[in-house]
Amino acid sequence: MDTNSNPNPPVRILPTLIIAAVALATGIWAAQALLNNKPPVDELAATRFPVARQLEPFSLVDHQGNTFDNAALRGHWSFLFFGYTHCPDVCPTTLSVLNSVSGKLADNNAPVRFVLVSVDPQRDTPEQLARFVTYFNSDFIGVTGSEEGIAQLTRQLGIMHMQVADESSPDSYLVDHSAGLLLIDPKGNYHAVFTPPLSADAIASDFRKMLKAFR
Amino acid sequence: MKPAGFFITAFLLLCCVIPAQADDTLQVSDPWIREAPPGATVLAGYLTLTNTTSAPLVIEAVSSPAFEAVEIHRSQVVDGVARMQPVSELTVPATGNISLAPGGYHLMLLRPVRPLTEGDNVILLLHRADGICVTVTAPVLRMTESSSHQH
Ligand SMILES: [Cu+2]
Repeated sequence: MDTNSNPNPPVRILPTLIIAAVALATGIWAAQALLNNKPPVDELAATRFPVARQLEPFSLVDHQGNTFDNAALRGHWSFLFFGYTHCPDVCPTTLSVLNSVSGKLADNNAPVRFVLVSVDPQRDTPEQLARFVTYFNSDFIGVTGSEEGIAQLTRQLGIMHMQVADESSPDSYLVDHSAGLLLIDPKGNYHAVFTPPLSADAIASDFRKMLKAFR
Repeated sequence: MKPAGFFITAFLLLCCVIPAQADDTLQVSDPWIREAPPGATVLAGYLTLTNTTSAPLVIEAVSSPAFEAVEIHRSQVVDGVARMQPVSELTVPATGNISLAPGGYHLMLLRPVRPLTEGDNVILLLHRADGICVTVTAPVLRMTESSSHQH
């Protein structure tokens, strides 16, 4: 009979409403917490590719005269930075940041390498690069090659570099270059990129998160 | 050094031989030069300039007996590309200041006369547009641990 069932629906609706209200409040609270307070754990300063990009063949030489090619990027993580040794401001600043990252990741058991790829192969011989990179950290690697060899790598990574005449000293030139810091994973694939301003703390903490998620 | 470069440098040094009268209209703080890897032919210098007057002050040129040439440069990241460009002069705004710091304005110090390492002190001469020359002593500092300048 209807009269028997009638008093029941409101009673049953009430807990549902309470649950719905609590859920809504919780949802709003959670959303506010996400927006205002703590970022979610997987938030990164870096841009990570959904699928790491495989690299096309390239062949260069490191500061000790060894071949530096796709195989040299496998088996460990590599941070790649593009610059040149006749750059007294931005490049030393970046290498100092990378030295600090290297210190922060020292307790890490995954091997990490830091590589400066020259965008000025005309002046950056392996010897010149050796003096430059090892000044910042004896484990840092400097890489150079022919113009064509450098282009094989920079073109596929979207790295721009361009010689610019220095109007005030005609016998020298400057090089504009992309300022991003690239992360290559142990499979030798392009995994993520950090854009300036580069912070050692953000790079180290992002790296730990990406390392955890890496399979 | 080319003769022309030599004469320009000699001229710039000479104008500072005539001492400026005690002048505190332009204050210089935290001057320093970043120690560079061995064999470096180019270094960077930094400082903060404070203008105590009510009119802008212009630095037209900088010279140093420790370098063959000094340029005023600005580094900038534009659309993800790091760019370093010479600027013709530095303007210190009225009752304001301008900082030359890593990643921004800097003194581009070309071809050191002798190698410089931490502990050395370098004389910089700032040539103001009003003819006054400001002499600054900048220590060479090694900075490899962090990107921030610490005293
Ligand atoms: Cu410069």
